[in-house]
Amino acid sequence: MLFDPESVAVVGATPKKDKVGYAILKNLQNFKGNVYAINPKYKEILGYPCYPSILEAPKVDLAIIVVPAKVVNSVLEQCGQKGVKYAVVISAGFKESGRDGAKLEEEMVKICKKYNIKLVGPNCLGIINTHNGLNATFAKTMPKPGNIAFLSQSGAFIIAVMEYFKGFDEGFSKIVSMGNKAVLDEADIIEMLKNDPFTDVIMLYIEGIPDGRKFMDVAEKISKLKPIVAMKSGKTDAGARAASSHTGSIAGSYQACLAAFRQSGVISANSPEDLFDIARLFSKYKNVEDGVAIVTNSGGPGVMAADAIEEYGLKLANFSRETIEKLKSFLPAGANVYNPVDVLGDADAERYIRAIECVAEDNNVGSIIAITVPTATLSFEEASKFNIEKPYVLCFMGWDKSDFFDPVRAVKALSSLYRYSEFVKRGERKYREFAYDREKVREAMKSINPFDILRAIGIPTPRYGVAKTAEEALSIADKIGYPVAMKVLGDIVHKTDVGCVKLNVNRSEVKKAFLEIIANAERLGNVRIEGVLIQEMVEGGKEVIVGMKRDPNFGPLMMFGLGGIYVEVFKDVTFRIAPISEDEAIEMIKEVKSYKLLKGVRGEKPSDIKAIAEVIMKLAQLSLDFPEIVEMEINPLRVFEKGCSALDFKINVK
Amino acid sequence: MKSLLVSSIDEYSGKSGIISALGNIFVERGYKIGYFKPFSTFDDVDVEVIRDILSLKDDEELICPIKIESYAEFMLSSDPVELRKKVIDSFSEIAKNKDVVFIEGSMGYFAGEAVGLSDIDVSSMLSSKILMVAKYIGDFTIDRLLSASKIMGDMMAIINLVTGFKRTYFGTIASKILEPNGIKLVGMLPKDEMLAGLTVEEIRKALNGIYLVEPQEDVLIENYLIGAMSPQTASSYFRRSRNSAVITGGDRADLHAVAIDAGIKCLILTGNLEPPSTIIGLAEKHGVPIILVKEDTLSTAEKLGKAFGRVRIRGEKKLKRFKEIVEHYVDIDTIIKVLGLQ
Repeated sequence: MLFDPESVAVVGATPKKDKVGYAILKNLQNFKGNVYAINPKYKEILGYPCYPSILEAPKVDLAIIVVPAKVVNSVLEQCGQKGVKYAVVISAGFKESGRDGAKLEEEMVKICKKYNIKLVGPNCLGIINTHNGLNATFAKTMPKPGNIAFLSQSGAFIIAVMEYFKGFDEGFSKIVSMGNKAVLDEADIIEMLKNDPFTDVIMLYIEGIPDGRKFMDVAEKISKLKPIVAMKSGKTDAGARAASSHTGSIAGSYQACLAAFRQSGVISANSPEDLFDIARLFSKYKNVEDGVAIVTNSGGPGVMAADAIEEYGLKLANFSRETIEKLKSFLPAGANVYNPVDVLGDADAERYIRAIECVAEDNNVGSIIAITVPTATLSFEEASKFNIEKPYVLCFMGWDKSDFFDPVRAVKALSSLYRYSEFVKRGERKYREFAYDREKVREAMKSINPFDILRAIGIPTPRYGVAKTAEEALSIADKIGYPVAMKVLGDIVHKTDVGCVKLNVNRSEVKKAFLEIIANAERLGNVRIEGVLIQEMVEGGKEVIVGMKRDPNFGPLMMFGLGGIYVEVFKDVTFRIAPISEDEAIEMIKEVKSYKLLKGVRGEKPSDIKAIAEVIMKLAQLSLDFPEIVEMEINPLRVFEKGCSALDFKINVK
Repeated sequence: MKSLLVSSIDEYSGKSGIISALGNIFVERGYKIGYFKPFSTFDDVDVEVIRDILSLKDDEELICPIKIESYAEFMLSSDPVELRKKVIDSFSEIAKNKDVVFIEGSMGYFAGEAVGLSDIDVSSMLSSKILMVAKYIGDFTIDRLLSASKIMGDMMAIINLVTGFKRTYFGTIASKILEPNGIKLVGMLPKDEMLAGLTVEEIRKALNGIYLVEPQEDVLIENYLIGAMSPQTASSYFRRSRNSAVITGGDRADLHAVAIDAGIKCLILTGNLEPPSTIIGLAEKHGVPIILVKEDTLSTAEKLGKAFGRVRIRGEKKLKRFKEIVEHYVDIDTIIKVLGLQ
């Protein structure tokens, strides 16, 4: 109904040509439905009947509101009384403009709740449905109908994108400028598009996702039916700062957003160009089989494409014997009949088309990259007239009707199609529920020793005890067996750097080590020292890190990486949002570049990946069960051929 | 009538708080109590506050008979005999109809020595039992207690601000070293973050700032952080602390938003730079007060640090909390026994 109203009222319509209230009314001229203007000063504007207030107008399904911010809420109140269920507030002057605006917006949300009004905006460009002529925006142009729905947090970007798409003679099904997202957010609108027969792809530009959980739930459901391609800005600190002061919202981390996209099947785009490339490809195809074939009339671009295929994790198809024989039968002797197929520079359109159609018949080929350069013998127009059903991208270098100039960009877009196909095939995520005693964890959270928490949820740790005097330290160490590790328990960060950790301590050194650790800690001044943790020394294995940081938008963001320099220097870490299925946990582990080290190099035995996955899942469950845990980290988790052991654990509970 | 002199090794050791808590506990147990602070300085407001907390009727001049402005001048001009008489007279008046009078010592047990009004003099003058408060500032605090008892004789003692593993050690030290030397350790009070806190209004006053967003509830700020890093790093840093204020530049909108999200209880913006209005809206929505100050971040932090070092136990929340701590950690029965009360 938001997109298919029978009647639309423009509140704040005016015959003054320089006003937004005029532009919107004018843009509605092709709308296949009733249009009313609302303005107490006029009887009629642009040929539409004009009413003093919405209360006096006939039945209205959608109200477009363009009055000053201060009066918007009283208009909405009238909409509520009249039973108008959808509204688009174009007017600015709300949350984005400061404290008074924020109050107005809160009031607006209350009115919408009271009357169940679904509202787009405020502070937006408006909405478009190309299929019924509904252009409730003040943009200068109306795009042509297409099958891409475009939702954007920036109105200005919409205007630019509409112009850009005009250049390819491509259009949109729906366009929504979301503005401040006071009532309807991206998730709500995506949900509305679920059953829209005109929309095949959803393209999204966002600066922030305040309710990340809701977004993930909706996106995961819809993206299996319709691909969602999204670009999120504010990935760097500078970008996040700009977004924060621009929208007055709290920026969650970019990693959390990327992880959320990935887990819910949303294809993430790095740049506007990327966004358009992917969305346009998805507007044609939703599915692709393994194996990419390249057919070219020039070697260089073919090699570029082959390189990119490897780089983006795709596979060059291996042609069947039949295909090779067939290619040989009509291609000149110097041509390459293996993938990438080079029909040579003297090829005409016919030779080129035959080659394309030939490889398209091969069962090992899932998609084709068609590359040509303009030669004396080949015309772009002619060469583009091949007839195949498999997905292809056109890389006719220098032709204005080509999908791409750059073969690398073509491969990049194609790789998204492959990733999406895989996602669609993926089964439901299954979560393992670990049984543990919650009360025990709650008790352990009060204890001074965080290891008790790990023990309570069944994550293996070395044997340990807490000593408050040197004498106690000795008796605990005697029970554990030598050598032992000793570290201070207290609110001290970077314990090792300040001499508060001692490793490989033997019986004769325990008391001295205790006193040294305490003395070093006390030297720091204002710190709380609870005692010294005495721990069994664990030898061998590899060190990994498993952590969680609660993201303001998406909740617990789980982190995995290899310990030491791999995390600190190479930032070789992966992220996912909890809950995490076993498959996802294993995916996380395999995704880090240093995974090879865990698999074992030069004859080493592989580490116990499943044991790590279990730790990741347990911490994920713990962070969902206990929202008061703000962050935690097992660093290092020592992994062996069989099993693992958490050597150090930090937790921050609010 | 019995009297207990609450003396201390140093200034700012926690005497007033302990007297307030003990006073209330004694009243609850049915004793009629009095409060006396013979020797103090002109700007001391303890007398007024404690009189109020303990709902006492005695005049302030009676509770604190000798208040001085310049000690140098006072040493030369005062007559020790007169002073002693005044102390004894006032005390006798206060002691009427009381079961026990809490006498608060001066800045340290030796202060007032030159005019015969040190805690050492007062305790013998009024034949009081002694409760010595020692703020823990290192293991040598024990020696300072021993020196005090060498001069003043048998005493009870409370060591303030002892936390963690040290409590185990001090438990043993009490029986092995303090007890044989005439010091009965009746309590070790732990550090408590809430007690060390300041209200937002106290902070605003200390920094001479103005509110951009006024506090909506009466929260205690327990510590402060400086925001000068990237928002991602800051987020963990802010979240790690409880009931904190963040000091940062007014132009760091990214940090303001992160701080508000991390549950920071007060934002202190420096350099007289007002934040974007979106931040003010956000702060109002989350009920986070914003104080704008003129100084730079470093000077502001220094000022606030000083204010935190002189925190008093005032306000209902803190008084209640401190009383709970004293009830839990101080051996009240022993104090009653030593005083000879029933």
